[in-house]
Amino acid sequence: MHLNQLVLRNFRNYVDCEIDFPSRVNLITGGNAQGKTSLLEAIYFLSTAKSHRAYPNDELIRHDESWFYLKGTIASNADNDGAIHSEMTLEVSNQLQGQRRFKLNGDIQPRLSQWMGQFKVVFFSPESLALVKGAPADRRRFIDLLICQIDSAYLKRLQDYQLVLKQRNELLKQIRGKHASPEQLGAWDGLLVEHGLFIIQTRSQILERLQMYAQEKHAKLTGDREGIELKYQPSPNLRESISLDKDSSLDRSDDESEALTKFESALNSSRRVDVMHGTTSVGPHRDNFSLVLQTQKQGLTLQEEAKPYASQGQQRTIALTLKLSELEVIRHATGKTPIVLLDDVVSELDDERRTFLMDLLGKLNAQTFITSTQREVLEADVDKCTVLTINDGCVLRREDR
Amino acid sequence: MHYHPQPLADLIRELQKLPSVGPKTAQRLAFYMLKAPSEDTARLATAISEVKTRLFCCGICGNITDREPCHICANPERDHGVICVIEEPDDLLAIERTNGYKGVYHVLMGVISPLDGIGPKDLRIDSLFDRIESQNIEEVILATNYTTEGQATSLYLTKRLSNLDLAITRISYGIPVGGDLEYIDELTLSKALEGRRRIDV
Repeated sequence: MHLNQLVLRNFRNYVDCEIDFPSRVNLITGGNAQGKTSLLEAIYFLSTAKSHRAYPNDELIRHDESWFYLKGTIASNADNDGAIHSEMTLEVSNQLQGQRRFKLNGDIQPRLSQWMGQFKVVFFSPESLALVKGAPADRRRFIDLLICQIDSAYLKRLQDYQLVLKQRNELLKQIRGKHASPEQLGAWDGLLVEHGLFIIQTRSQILERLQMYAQEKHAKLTGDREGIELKYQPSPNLRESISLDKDSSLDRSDDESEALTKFESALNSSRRVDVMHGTTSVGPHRDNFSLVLQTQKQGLTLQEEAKPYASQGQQRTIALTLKLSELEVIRHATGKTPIVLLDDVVSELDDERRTFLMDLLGKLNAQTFITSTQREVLEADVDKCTVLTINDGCVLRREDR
Repeated sequence: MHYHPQPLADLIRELQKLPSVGPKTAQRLAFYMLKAPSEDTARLATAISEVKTRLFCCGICGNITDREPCHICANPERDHGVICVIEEPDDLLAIERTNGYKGVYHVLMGVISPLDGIGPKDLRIDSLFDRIESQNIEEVILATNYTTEGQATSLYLTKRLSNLDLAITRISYGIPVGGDLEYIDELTLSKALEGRRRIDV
């Protein structure tokens, strides 16, 4: 995919700005608080209808204004036969405390789900470091968001699962207070297991694919000095006990029904504790995936959990690896190459890793937007690009090289 | 604020409580009644009050009726060995409209939902088991909705019915008749694929 043009009106500190992006690589420079990140935020908004920093939409409106408007013109070319160049336009307007309107190719889309996801974006921002440093919930969100982008039935499953979980937890509290009988739990367990196993198997499948790409990307980003391993850790009491392979044959396979039985018996054996705490202790809401970093030291290979041991730069590299692998997974599943947004990524990478990154981005052939306060650091690594200097919500200078 | 005379304000307020009636519709309906002949409004008033005084739930199946037992439970032509379990009386009407079902019904009057404080005791589940024990029932069709709570209720009943000597069935779901695959949401379609059936040749 290629963003040809972006229009911003009353968005953050932009008043009225129209920018063309003919190049594959776009460097966005300028001082602090001039609107570099907001430009990426606007692109991200066209993809997901929200801010990557989880701000309420009304806060994206320029001060003392009552609305904002964004428009993107995007060429989406099928990767396999680059010949098809169809252009689409995405528009969104947001009134202060009021209506939001989404248009696709000029037509109003009453359902957000039909507008969202048309335009695929992978965003690396300083917040992405939470993937390495953060809690298991951060990593679950990453993997769930990724699956939602390529499997439209997954979100509904996830929502169904959350509802079952809420109902079951409420029932557990009622049982603890002797307001309900434990025999009711069976019904909720049955649903929890059915949705839960689907979620676990889907996550496992995607993680496997992610892992495949991550090893390759990480080796390239570090010049073969480091390796990375993603380990799926299903909820406690479920580890090693259930088969993670999804089965689509007509009759439910033995593996699958065995997995269901094991899941159900895990729920059964933790029932007493669950009632005591009033929460469910087994299920994909307790999943995690750990990141294991492999480093070479004096000819020895060290394996360490990334969260406590990796340095700032290493953590950043791991997060980058995950994001670039996300891009590959999306490309593999949809046949479209997402646009890469890199917010302030180069500041903590050494010269060598930066060169590897730019090299890798070139090979991915994905349109890339990079922000940085120092333009010099990047220019050396790219030969053809557009450099935009942003000042107070305006493009101060533009150079196409 | 607009001033409405007290009786008119009362009427508008009451009408507004009806489903899908907002303030403007309520006002329009109230003015319509004001202008209508008094026999018409009297008939409407009687109809509304009789709904509450003359109708009740059938003691056997829970269907809404004006006689005991209801016309379905009293009908000897129907197959009293098959019970279709449904959530609400209007689900019964929906199934009746198909003209294809000849068994009898059992209305649960809701679904199990701990978040709303509704457990099996609050539903007509005990009376279902009384019926099964006292009569010769061959099949129980579970026709609760395909919502999370409807599914949980159906699972709960399945577990309790499983040790009895009768057939338990669940209505199937998937692609609607006349449905175009292109317009069906992904989850329904993937469920329909999962639940595909072998064709006997």
